[in-house]
Amino acid sequence: MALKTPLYSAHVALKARMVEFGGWDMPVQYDSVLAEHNAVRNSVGLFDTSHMSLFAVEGSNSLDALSRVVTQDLRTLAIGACRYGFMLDESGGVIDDLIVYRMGEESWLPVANAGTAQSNFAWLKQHCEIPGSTVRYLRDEMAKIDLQGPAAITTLKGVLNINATTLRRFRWVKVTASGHEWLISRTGYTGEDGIEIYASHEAIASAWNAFVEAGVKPCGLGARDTLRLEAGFPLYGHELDLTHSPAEAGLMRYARKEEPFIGRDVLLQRAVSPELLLAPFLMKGRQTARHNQPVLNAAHETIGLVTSGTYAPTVGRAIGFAYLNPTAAVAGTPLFIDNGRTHLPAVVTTLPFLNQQEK
Amino acid sequence: MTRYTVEHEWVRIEGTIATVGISVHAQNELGDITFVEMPAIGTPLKKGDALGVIESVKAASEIFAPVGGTVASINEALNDTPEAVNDDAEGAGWICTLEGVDASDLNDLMTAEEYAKFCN
Repeated sequence: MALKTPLYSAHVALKARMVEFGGWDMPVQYDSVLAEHNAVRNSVGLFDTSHMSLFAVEGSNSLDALSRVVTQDLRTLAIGACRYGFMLDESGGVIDDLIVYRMGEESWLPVANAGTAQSNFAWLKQHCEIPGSTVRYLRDEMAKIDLQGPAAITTLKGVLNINATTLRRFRWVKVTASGHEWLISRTGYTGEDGIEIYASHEAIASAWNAFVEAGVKPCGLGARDTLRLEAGFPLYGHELDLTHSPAEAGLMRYARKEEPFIGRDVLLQRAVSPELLLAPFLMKGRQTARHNQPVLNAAHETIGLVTSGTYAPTVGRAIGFAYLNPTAAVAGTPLFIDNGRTHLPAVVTTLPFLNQQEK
Repeated sequence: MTRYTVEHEWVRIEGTIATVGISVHAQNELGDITFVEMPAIGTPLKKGDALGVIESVKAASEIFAPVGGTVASINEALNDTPEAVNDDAEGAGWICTLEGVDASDLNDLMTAEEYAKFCN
């Protein structure tokens, strides 16, 4: 039985196509993935992200406890800021990628994926539930929506009367407006400007309805995936998992250098000579490579596997990520994707995918 | 007169030429169409053979020949505007025509009315 967010009935009323994702009943699209994608690129779109796992880690020992399990440097993270990083296992594999918000001197809000909620909670309890540090899973206390696109800031002001013009990227603020308390951050998963909004279930339901009534386009998981892939962001279960570390994913910049954390020693070893490297690729045309399809070199020998692929509406061609032999993970290397019927030509490219329309 | 298959293709026969596409219902289920792989002109097809692939943002699906015949033409416009299948699946979004069609292949296909019931 899949979990339902506080916005489930709103999605059904909007005639969304619902799918199970990460243990939740979620909207994959309302109208059309392309229309929703374009709304975010050109104006503004609204996402239900209440399926994501939100935790509170608090107490006098919480800084030390949480620092053991995340790669972020929490000591230099200011109250009012948030930072992206990972939870790793002892072998450097990714338990999850997450953003940690510093809510106070001894109070943290880790925000992670939906499908990993139970393993995240177990890992956090195992390592952070110690004298002077508590862990709570906030599923019943807090919900979340994302307002994304170049018109997000003006829409937030117009609909909820919240002024976020001076809020900087990866900063958060708590505000009271329109009869509710909100936590908003200048963050998102689309490659556009935008805001993530956290509040009580009741407040989030009222905000969702207010945005939709104001004409903001509701967007499903389909557009969320095409937007994040165009922006070059990894997705847990595709680019990141227990067998791939930030070393292979090219994301070592999100792992701190000095203070130890679980998985660090193996991670540093893996970073010296990774067996595989994550590479972005551009297809010759519109035809899409799909997760787990083999990647071949010019001699048609298998050199890797596709992790994600989609038609990229803003680019006008299909794009993707693949784990490749490191010698092949160099921009300009020609590739072929074996889709089971034919070998589709592609080429290793560089991020970002956006602004490559003319290549 | 248009006939439909259980795989959601449509076929319309005028003289000895059959025009083939996917149904309005099918394009709606697939969502935004991003690519249509069409057969080479001159390809002989038996009823039920895979004649191409249609890709949407979500998935790739094979298209099967609703009747046997030889590929006479393809809808070249779909190379640049595959969204025509979303906009007008049973008109401008046609995929190919077949010649040398055996009209008896139509016998077990559905009428529009039968197909509408089938989709419900």
